[in-house]
Amino acid sequence: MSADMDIFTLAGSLILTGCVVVFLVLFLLIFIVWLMGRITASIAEKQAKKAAPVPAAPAAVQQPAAAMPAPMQVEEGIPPEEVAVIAAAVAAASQDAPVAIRSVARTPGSRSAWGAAGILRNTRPF
Amino acid sequence: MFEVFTETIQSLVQESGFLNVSHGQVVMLLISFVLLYLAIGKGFEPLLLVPIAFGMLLANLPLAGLSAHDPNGGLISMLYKGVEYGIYPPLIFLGIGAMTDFGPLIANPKSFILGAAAQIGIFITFFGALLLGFTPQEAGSIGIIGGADGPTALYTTAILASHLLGSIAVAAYSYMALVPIIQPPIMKLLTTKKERAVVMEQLRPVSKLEKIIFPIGVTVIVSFIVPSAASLVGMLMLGNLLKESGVCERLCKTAQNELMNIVTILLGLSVGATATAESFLGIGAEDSLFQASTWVKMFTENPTLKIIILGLIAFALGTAFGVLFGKIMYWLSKGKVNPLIGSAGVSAVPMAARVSQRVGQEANPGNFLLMHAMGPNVAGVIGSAVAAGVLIAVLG
Repeated sequence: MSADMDIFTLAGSLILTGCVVVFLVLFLLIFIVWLMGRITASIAEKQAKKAAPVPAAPAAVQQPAAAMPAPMQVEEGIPPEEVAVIAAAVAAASQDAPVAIRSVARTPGSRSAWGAAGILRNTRPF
Repeated sequence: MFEVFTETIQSLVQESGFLNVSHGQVVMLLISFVLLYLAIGKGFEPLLLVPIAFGMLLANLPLAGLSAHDPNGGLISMLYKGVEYGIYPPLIFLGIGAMTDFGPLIANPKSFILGAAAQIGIFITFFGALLLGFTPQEAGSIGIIGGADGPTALYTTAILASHLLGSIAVAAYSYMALVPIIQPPIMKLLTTKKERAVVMEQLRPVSKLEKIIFPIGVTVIVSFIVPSAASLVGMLMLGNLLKESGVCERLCKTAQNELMNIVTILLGLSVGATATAESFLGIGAEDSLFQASTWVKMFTENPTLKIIILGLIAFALGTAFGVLFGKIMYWLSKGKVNPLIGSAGVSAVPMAARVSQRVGQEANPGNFLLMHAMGPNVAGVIGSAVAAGVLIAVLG
């Protein structure tokens, strides 16, 4: 930077340069990420079409009497509210794919809750 | 023999810290105690603030030779080489990248705009610092506090104005801890309740291939445009690639845990040890607190007070511009984007995103903005690294 540049010129030029460069780089990244998304979606679509067989012409609707699914097994001591929360979490994680919850039970803990909390605290993002 | 004993004791007393401590060192020791209390008692970013505060304490022990700039080359001055040569901050970024999920950003790349907007505060604060009499390099180091990114602030300051490292480190990490207090009033001031209550559409799923290509692409593109940002962005993306590739689990775990913890200790300790009375308070060993001139010097020539005020302004401006750009996106999208996620464009990951979530839930209890806010939050990390690269390229 020239020693003769006054404060206002220096500040103005840096503000302009900084904002332009940061926005330019990030707009470019927006375009690249969008393009990448389109390309990978297109590839995934083509692969899905190759893998899926051509569906048969829709027949007359005849729903065979389906057997009633076995009731969900819930371990004793787990309240219905917790089961509802778990079901909502599974539905969100499965991203609308068909999912059936067969049972809800506590896993045998290999690590205590305090230990897990300690690990989480030590590895939380900075 | 008794005389020799007496002389020896006298000599030990003469060389003890009690007779050689300056008033400035006493003040710095007290400041280090306050910072330790804030870190341990109040939970202010303890992982960095405890080593920083303790480094400050060690550096101000009289005759101990534990300052980062000790002329005799003590332990901490050797550890400080990692800061001086810009090694520690990129290694911290390696760990951060290994812990970051860029999925929300990839799913909604428009979040990059909010990450960019939040960096405007850096450059405006640069102007303010120039007006207060700082040199351009010092002003650039102060402005980068607005990026709310500790490693980036330290990396930039080590290159541009290393004598301000102690003050800037304390300011940067203190404000990062105060995100939940500083941001909400600004967010509520700039938005209406209707805007804050906007529920955003669920993000699309992101494939593993995208998550693998993303860090490679970002590194190449950013480094070609701003080569001085390559160190920070490259290490951030290396850490992320270790995580997303799925074939480097051991390296990823090391980056997230052991490496991160080791570098954090060394970085915090050596940065804290730059905070001597001369650099932090602007007073020398010969200045006495019983003289009015010393107090005048502390308040007029002390850079730390100005840095703390400017740092707050930078942070507030970053939040404000992020929210304002969020409002622009709200209008352009006809009400589909919640402007609150704009405040997460400052790179205090993940606290700023949590603040967006909390303020959004106050307006609409059923609203979950966290994942939407993570996009701008991690975009801000990239944005602040690019901004740092620009400052280093122009002012370095």
